[in-house]
Amino acid sequence: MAEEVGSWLQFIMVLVGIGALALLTLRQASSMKRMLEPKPEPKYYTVERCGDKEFKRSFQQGDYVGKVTGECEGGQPKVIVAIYSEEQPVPKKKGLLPTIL
Amino acid sequence: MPQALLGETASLPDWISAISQLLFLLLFVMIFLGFNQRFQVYVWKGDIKQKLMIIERIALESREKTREFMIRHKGRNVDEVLKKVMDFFLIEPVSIEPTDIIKRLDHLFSVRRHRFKDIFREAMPEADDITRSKAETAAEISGALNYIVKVIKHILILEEKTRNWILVMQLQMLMPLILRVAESLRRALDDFLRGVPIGDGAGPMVASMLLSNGDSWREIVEDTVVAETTLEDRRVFIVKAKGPGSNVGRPGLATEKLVEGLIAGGAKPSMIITVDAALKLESEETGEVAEGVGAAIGDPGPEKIRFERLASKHGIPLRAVIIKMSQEEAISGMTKKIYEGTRRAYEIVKDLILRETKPGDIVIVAGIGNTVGIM
Repeated sequence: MAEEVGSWLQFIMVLVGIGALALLTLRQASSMKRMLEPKPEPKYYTVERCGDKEFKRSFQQGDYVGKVTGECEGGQPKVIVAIYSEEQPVPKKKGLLPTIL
Repeated sequence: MPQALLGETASLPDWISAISQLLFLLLFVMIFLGFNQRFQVYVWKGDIKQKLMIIERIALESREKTREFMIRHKGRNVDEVLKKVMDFFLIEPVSIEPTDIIKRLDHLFSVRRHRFKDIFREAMPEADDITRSKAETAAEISGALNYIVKVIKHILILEEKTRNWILVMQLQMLMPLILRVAESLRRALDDFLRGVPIGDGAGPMVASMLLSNGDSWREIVEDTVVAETTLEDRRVFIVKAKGPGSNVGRPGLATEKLVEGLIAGGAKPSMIITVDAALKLESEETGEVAEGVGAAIGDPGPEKIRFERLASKHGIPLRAVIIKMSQEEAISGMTKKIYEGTRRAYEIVKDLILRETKPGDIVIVAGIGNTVGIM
């Protein structure tokens, strides 16, 4: 009886080993898949200033800091004072395997 | 046959036991023969090759984007030009004899800069300077990615020839870092072509903040501009690279020419302030601002030494303000955190001028960094 239990235990150990190897391979495949996925592009904003007031809008090709984009109400030039990006929230995806591995 | 070995009464557990023991024995022998190391190297190489595939794809995409950009702006012999630029090299001067090393390095950089300009002027004759500077930077980024791919392949082939698995081990451990660099270069290329200010542009951004409406830039030396403004009765000269193209200019040379000119006219500056982006430690926050002493400039030497020599020659206090960020953030589009950092740096520079100089004094502020997207 004890011998039979020992044999089954060995069998289970081999199975566990093969299982762990398969899981590691899957994990590697999953991380590669994640790396190959295109990263979300940050969104760029342009900040224009009129006197003390600032206006934020989406970046347009050709914008640069210091560019005069128009005239303010008082006749002053409307100037771009900043261009920066804001990270877009990334929706969390479930991987092939949980991250505890 | 198995029945003969295990006897007529061999049951399933006996079989399992026999096979398991055989497997363990095999494993034991293989460990003694060094199979575990070979297997480990095989796994490492597999991992490197997978990551190399990603980097190769990034390099190829970058080259293609640069090519498309040049063709869109009526570039000629684009493939030939790209090959030439991507394989271009600079041999560093002899350092065992340090006499004149800065002068020699400066000369080599100057030759390289002019050669690149000529190549792109010939290849894109109808494009403006700003577009050409973007194409030049994009080609340099593509070249850097291409070089990364070449080095990784070189190590893999060398390991196969020499069986030196230490090379593979080191490379495998460095691969996540290399992948990060490649990814940030890919982002940098997109941002340069888009023409948005990058993190390294924090210095020129602070410089442009100091400018009041009506002040204008004039070119003082090649690719570098200066503007004069006033701040509570102090004359403030602002130096930065000429924008809004991708350009770092020659801030050291420009400041030298400006200061020598002022001194020749009998007006000695009371302070020189350099403002630049600086690499942060991982524990530090992006956009943190710090104040110190010295020349805040990350060039290989020729420009930085001009600030130091100038300040020590005339006894002018040399102050530095830095905006902290990571390597990736420095070459990618400016983030909101960095922009907020530049606002704080601007306040610090203003405070420094008002606190440490008197009305009537002259102050030089040099905004160091790539001025893409900033006039």
